[in-house]
Amino acid sequence: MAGLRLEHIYKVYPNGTKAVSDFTMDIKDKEFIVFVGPSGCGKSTTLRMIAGLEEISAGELYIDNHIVNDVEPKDRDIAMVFQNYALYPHMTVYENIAFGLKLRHLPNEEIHKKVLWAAQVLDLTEYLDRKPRAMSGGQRQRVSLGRAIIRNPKVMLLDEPLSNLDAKLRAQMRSEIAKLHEDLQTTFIYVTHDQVEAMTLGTRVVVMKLGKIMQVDTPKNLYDYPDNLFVAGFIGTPQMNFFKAYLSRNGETDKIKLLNASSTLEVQHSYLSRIKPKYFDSDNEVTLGFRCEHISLEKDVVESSEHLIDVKISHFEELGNETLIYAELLNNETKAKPTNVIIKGTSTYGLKRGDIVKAALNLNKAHFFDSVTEQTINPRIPTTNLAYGKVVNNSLQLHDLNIDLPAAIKLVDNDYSVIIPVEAIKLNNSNGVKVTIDKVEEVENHKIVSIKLGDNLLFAFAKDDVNLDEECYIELDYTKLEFYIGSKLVHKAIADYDSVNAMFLNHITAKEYVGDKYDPVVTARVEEVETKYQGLFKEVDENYAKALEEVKNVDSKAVIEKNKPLIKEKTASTNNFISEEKNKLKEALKSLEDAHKVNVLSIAKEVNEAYDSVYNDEIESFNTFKQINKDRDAYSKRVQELKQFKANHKLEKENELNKRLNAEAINYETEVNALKGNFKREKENALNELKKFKNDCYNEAYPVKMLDKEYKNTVLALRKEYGEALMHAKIIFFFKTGNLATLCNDEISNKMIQSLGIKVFSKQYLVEIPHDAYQLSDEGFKVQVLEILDYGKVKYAKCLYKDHHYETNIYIQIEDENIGSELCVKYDISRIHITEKAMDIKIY
Amino acid sequence: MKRFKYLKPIKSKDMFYNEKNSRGMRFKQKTSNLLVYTILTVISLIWILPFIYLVLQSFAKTYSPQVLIPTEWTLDNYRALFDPNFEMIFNNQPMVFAQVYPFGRWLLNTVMIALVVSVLQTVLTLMSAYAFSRLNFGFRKKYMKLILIIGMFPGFLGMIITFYILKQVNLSTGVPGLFGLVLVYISGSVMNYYVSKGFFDTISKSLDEAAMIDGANKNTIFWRVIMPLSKPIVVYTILLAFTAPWGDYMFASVIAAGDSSLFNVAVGLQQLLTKESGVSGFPIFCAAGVIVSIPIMTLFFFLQGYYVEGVTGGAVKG
Repeated sequence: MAGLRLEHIYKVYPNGTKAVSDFTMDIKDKEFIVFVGPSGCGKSTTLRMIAGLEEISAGELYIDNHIVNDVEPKDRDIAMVFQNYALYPHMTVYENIAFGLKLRHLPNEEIHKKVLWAAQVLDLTEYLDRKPRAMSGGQRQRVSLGRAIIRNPKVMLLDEPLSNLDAKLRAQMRSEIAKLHEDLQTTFIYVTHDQVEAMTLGTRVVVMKLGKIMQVDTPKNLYDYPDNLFVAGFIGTPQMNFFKAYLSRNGETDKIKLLNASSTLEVQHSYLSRIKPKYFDSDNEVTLGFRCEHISLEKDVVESSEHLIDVKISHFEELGNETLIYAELLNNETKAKPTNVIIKGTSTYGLKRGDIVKAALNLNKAHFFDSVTEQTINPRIPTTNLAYGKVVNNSLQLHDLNIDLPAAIKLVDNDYSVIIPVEAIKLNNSNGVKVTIDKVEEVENHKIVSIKLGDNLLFAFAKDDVNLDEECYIELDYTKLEFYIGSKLVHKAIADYDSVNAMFLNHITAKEYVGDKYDPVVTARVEEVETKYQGLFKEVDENYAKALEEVKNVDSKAVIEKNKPLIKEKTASTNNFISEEKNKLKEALKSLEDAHKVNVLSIAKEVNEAYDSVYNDEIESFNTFKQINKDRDAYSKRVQELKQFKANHKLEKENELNKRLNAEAINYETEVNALKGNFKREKENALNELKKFKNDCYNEAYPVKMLDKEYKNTVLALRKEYGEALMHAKIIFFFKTGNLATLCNDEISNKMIQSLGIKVFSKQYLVEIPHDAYQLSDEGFKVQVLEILDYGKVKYAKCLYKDHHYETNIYIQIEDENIGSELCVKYDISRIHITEKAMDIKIY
Repeated sequence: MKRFKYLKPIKSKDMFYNEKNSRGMRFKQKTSNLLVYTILTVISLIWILPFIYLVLQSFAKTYSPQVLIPTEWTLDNYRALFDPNFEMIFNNQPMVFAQVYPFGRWLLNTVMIALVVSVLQTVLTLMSAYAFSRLNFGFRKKYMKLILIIGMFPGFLGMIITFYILKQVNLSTGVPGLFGLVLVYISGSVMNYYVSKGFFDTISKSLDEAAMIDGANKNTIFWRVIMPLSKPIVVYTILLAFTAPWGDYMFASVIAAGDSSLFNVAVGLQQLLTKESGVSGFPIFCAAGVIVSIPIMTLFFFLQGYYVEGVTGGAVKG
């Protein structure tokens, strides 16, 4: 039972296709996670990477906070259920379930107990001695589940386990799996392409498309708040209705002009308050989404609603408890293909095909998406605000607010549209400009505050202690503001990170740049390892010496003499026991076989007799017919009938016989397997006991030998560990930017090697450095200062960094303005982000 | 069918034919069957005739090539092969045949070599086929093609070189030469990977994966999961591996270098026919031929009963 962490997991095939890219997710203990998506979206690949059946190209996988990228599947403590069951056909159900435990050398009694437990949980007790081929699909999948649960794994992985079952069995197994999750309290990861399974089983669902995560959320949130067009369309049956539309803003009301439709909706401002202003012009097409239950034809709803569209009914699907009404948007203007609408209703409302009616839209439940990027433009948690304001004397006027802009933002007096990220607005009780809070919402873990400034609505994140209509102060992070005149960018925000190119080097290659400066570092690392392991070695030696002292005086010969008769007796009794059991088995098998023979013959006899009597009856009736009948036509018809009967009769008889014989054969085989399996277990138990007894006797006689062996093993393992540690200590790595080689810490080095293996040195990297991670230093790389930007609280030096091939601006956070025209800077390597450039793999 | 061994299956011939067409169809079916069986009978006669000839001649007192059925019958030919004290007239001279031509020794040599080779070669072939089928290593496909291409060259092309190599390691003559022979036979085991690889490819890979997750390593998977499912191919490989050294002439004669105690049956029988002029040794040769073919036939009769179908039944979706 454990949590999982997937960090920037990639699967890249040798030909360059990315099956999975940048899969990052935290899975908590006992969660039921479902990966869902169309085929080829990488969900199974991700699961197989978690299982260890597929290599992870880049990224890290943690199970229980241990990195397991290079751990064999068997040592990851996971269990997997396959789509095609993957049962071992030559083993009985019992052996199939026990196989994993047997390979782990558990004592037989314990295996037996556990198998019986699993069989009982899954209702398989009576099938334990059958072979998989004598079972149905559902039963086979249950065996496969049994094989997985018996080891009590940390994580259960299920790869489309129900795809091969028919619909009824599938529903039944689905509830069984849900129950199993309740009972076992283990983390489940379940892959499926069936959204019903995803929605009913998962505590959280991961929707994937083309190797990328589209959205991770609870089933309810996926349904109610899809992040993008794909999730909106994929989740929910029937599919969400989509309408292409343009939005426009006009005084008090907003307009939604639906494409290919005659109706235009006038809606209140509040419905569209979170949509960025850029979507209210005619350039940006948006897609509106409505679930079928949010469009209504109910009479009273339509009468009271203000948001109506005209639709033309095309057909109905009556599902009993509800009716799906298929319609088209009424379109008077163009001859383009009409947009389809599906409406859920309680009945057909007496409508018929071709009727034109008004349908009411529930705009509270509307979804808005950008038609190009397909992302939602009406997010639950807003990210940016757009405000319209005026700049006068370098002071920004938003409605009745006056915000003084810092020196770094130099703007001529004009009307501007300003993009203010939500994070850039900081609420507090004392500093900045005073505002009144209009609305406080709580969405997931965020408290979102809306502040109304004339036409502008600003969103900000608040801490806990905010109330409605309260007055408070806001401060802006000026570095993140962007100013536009019309659509022209006038002032750009400073990005969170500077991006520079870098190379990854080992110590020897780096010597060209750093010389012998880092040799002492290596020596110190090596020394540290040496002292640590010397202590460990000493400890082991001391323990060994102490233990040796205790057992020194054992008289081996006396002990052997003492134990000899005991061993003899035990061996004899074991052999006796086994041969007795064997005889019993033989007898039982013999009697079973005899019974089986008798059964087969009696079945054959019964069937023969039954069918013969039918046959005789038919012949008799034919003969009587022949005697009384005089009509030739009727006679020839009767002959035909008889022929037909003869042929069919033979076939039927054979079928019946086969059916009954098959059933008998399966029974017989099951019984034989049960006997044999029992005998095998008894025999193994007895032999193991004997072996253990002998071993104990040997150890009692020669304790020194045993100690020696143990000591040798410990030393050997320790020595291996020591060698590895020493090797690691000797190797150090560097990141080279310009002419600066920065020593990597072990964490970064490990991640780099983990992600890219031997290719790590031949790749180019993009290093992202936060502005305050720079330090002025003589050893750093040279940059040319272009200007000093004063943003009030913080000051940045805008610098030009030149490499051989390219140049870029970097922003260095500084305290003092007088720094000259050229700087040497280095950076704190633990705070950077690293991305591999060619394949765009995020590493750190 | 194994389940119904106490009962004869009911034949249901002609049961599915439509009543109207049945007469014409049945006639057509019967004629075509007749034709097919006639052709098959003729072919099998042609095939079996040499063998019948061999068996009959092995009981002949004197050899006369023109007659199929010998005029005088005797078991002396068989006795001569094994009895070291049995004197007979050979090429108009009395001689103790088994002392000049130690057929028993040849047979022993051959059996030992063939047994060792068949075991080792089966293991090696199947293991390499499994590796080619399941493991992912560099140049796997190229390596497979290379082996196929090399396999197209006749083995004796490299015979001289092989012989010199064996000479370097002192395995070219005498009794060690027989070990050398075993080495030469099994060294080409990997060449036969193709059929078994094809078979392993049909076994679902998810079985391997399930076993891997259950805690098995590659070795355990091979022996405990794949092998029990591969009986037909094991049998096939054993048969193949047994027959090759059983009938090999070329390299065995090089190694034996004329020392009759090191002959295998093929070399020995060839010596028997060419060394002595005339045809008086022919009935003995036939007797030896019959004896040599017995083990192969028994092997085949016992092992042919394995069916591919049904072995994997129930393993995967079905």
